[in-house]
Amino acid sequence: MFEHDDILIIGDSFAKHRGFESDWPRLLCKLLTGSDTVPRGKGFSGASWWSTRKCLLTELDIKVPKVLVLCHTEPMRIPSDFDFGINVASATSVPVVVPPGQEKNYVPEIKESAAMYYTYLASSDYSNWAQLAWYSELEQLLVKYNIPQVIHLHCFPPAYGQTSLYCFQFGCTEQVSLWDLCKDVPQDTARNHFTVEQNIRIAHAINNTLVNCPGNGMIDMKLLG
Amino acid sequence: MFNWIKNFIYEWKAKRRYKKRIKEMKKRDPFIY
Repeated sequence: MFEHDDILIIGDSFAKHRGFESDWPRLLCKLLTGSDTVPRGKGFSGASWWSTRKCLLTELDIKVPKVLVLCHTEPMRIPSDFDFGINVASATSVPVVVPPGQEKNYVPEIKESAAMYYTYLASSDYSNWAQLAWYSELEQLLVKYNIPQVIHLHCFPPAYGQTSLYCFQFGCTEQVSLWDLCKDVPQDTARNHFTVEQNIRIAHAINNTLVNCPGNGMIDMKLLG
Repeated sequence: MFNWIKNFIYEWKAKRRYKKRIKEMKKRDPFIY
């Protein structure tokens, strides 16, 4: 059994909801620790990998976890020190949707700038390169801090110009993207983009993977059974 | 007159290209917020 502080789960909106016992991050924490508590870390809705990186570095300074679950997001999202979740869909949506909890830092110019950026400036090649540079740094961090068990979940299919999902040298990488698994889920009632039942299945599948310790590489965790 | 038409077509084509780009990006990352 693990302690609460041993579990760290960070990502985007796929790891955001953890308030209900059935939300996968919280249920996974319960399966691993035996107690029903909200796990360390955060899911930054609509935000880029930069938010995940900042959160990871902060948490590593507090305590090195024994189990780390990372949800890797879409490379073209805009990095923000305020964790703004202004991705392409929200930047070009009408009306403006401000991610909950970010209202105090929000001004309309942010959405306008983001929409202009995506329309005229965004470079998929640069975004892919930047995310791969982050993955490379992440590999070094995993070695440096010697985190025993790491789970990598890719939230979206391979980026533009890439044929397969990135396989991390350290930790288990799920071979199917979460987006491919939640395509048909109605998003208005979904939590972490999945149904309650799917959240439960995902938590159990990741728990099984951690218990079986398959080693490093790309595997099929059978997240939805 | 001829330049005006040329510019108009150029801008129209560029706008269409940007719109297509946004549509493709949205298809990949459709979640609002």
